[in-house]
Formats: sequence, C-alpha cells, structure tokens
Amino acid sequence: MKTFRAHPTSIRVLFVTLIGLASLPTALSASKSNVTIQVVQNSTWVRRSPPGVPYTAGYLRLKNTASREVRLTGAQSPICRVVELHTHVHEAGSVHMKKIDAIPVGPGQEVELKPESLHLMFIDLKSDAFGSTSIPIHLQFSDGTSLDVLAELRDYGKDGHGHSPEPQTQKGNS
Amino acid sequence: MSAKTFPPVPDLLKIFAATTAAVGLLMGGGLYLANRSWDRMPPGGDFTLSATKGNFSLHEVKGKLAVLYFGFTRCADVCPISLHKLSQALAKLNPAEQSDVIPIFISVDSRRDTPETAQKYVSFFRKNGIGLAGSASEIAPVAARYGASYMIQDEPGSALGYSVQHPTRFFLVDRFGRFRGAVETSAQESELIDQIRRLL
Repeated sequence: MKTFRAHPTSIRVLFVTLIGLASLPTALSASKSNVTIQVVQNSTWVRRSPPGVPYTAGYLRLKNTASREVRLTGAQSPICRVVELHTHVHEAGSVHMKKIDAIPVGPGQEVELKPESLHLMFIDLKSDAFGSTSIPIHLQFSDGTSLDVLAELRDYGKDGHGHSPEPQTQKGNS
Repeated sequence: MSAKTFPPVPDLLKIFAATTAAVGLLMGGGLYLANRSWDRMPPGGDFTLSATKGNFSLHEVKGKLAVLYFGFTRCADVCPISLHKLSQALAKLNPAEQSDVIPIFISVDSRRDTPETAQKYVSFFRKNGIGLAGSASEIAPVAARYGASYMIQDEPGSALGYSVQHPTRFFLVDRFGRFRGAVETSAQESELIDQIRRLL
C-alpha cells in the first residue's frame, strides 16, 4: 500500500491496517468511524527535484464522502522545513504560484492536486529528502481530522514529469 | 490554441500559412500564426547575460536553433514540467537535429539564481542546455525584447517570501538569430516538435 492512515488510537490504526492488508488493493484512508475525507489510492506522489533545488511539489486526490464540505488546511512532512498549499494563477501567457490557506472538497466530491494546478509545495528540502522512495505526509483537515499518507517518489520520465496517475476509485472503509 | 509561431520566410508560404491558420481558427483548432497577446511582434535580438564561464551572447549559438525559456530554478512545478517536456520533445528529433537545437534557460529570479544554479538546472534536463542569470536590470531588457513578461511578487504569508510570475512559452530563435515566435508550454509535444523542425 502506498498510503495508509494513522489515527488517534493505536488500536484503530492496527485494525484498519489489518483490514487494509486483507483487502488489497482497496482501502486507503479515512479519519474516524464516520468517514469524511479520503485520499484516493495510489494518487499520492512527490516529484524528485533536480539536484540542488531545495523545493519540490507533491500531488494527490482527495475524496469527501461526507455530507458537508471538508477543507484541507495544512500539511507537514519530515523531508522539508515547511509544506504549503499552493495553486497556480495563469494570466495571459504567464503563471505564478500562490499560497492558499485551504483546499475545499465539497460533499461527495473529489479534488485533485495535480501538476500545473493545486499542489503541495515542499519548501527547504533536507539534504536526505529523497533518501527513500516513500515520502511521509501528514494532512490536516477542517473537521479536525488528519491523515498520514506515504507518497511515491517519482523521477522524471517515470510519470514525474507532469502527468498525474490515472484516478482510481476508492472504497471507503468506515 | 496552444502554438504561437510566425510564418516562414517566403511570401507565398506566408499567405498559405495565414490561410491555414485562419481556417484552423474557424475550426477551433490547429496552429495559428499571430500571437494575440502581442500587438506587435517583439523584436528579439542579440543579448548578453552571465553564464558559468563568463558572459554569454546569443550570437554565440548562431547557426543553431535556440529555444529560450524564462523561469527560475526554485519553481517546483511549471518550470521543471516545461523543461522536461522540451527535453522529451528534443529527444524525438534525430541526432543531427538534436545537436542543432540549444535550450537556453534564463532565470528571472535575480535574487536567488546564479549562472551556476541556472546551468546546473538546465543541464539536468538537457546536456547541451545553457543556463543564464543576471541582475534584475540585466534580465529585464532581455525579457522585454522577447515579450517575456515576468514579475516578482512579495508573498509575506509564504515561507517562499516571494513568488515569480514567468512566461509559459518557449521562445524560438532561428539559425540566423531572428526571433520567430513562441510556442505555449501547454502545446502538444507533436506541435512543439513541428515548430522546432519548421525552423531547423
């Protein structure tokens, strides 16, 4: 599994992990017994930056199974000093990145963070940031829940050049 | 519309190209040969900026097709995607064609980039690429000459400190040093290859 959850109680984590292992390739992430926000399976990846570049971007697809809007409000990762939520502003042949406070996901909807669009911005990468092909990311949401996911580290030429993975329908695991 | 290039030299070809472009526009697709965002074709022309081995002037690659890209090395998304796309497109050319195309990366982030960081960056994508940097007062007139608008915008709420607005275009300079037009980085790879081959 590329992604999995971590949650308040270790028992729940163990339980959900076992369920996930038993039902591969399905389960991904949930927050509490009343599932709200999920990360679509195999949708989480981080681009390996060129040598010497201390920034990179990460992507994923969020699915909200709740009946109310949930917003992604923050992220952290041990591979860098700061993770910010960013979008791109396109204006007549030019573009710039812009930090945003949150990424809303409407009830029953999916939102994709993808190249040249919404993304996680990893700032001030540590020297050993790409020492592993799995990048831990902690996601925080407006409903007070959080998710821990493992993102796949992708090289250029291996889908790390700008193509997001094919969306895969996720099954919730409430 | 994603490709923005300018007509080949002969007048008959110009007429043919303009007609084709008009038809393409009417059909809602294809190439067109006038850049809507430019009232007048930017003049382009020679320039000199800092490279790792001292000053570099565009005329030093005369005889080759230069593909200019204005960006910055700390761009985590658009710049690497665009340069990788260019790299992938150039890899589709035959070896002789490949050696006749020189990607030139011009950093518009004068505060953080140096000739060394620019060179290291472009070399990652294309071995024969040339990385250039300069002060704000050196970069601005070069960008203006090619209609490459960019802007540094403070982002006090971000750990980045500021963001860099930069073009989403490849600027093509032919073998004679003439600026021939721009191709949107969002263009299909096949379109980018076609426009490059057109000028080889």
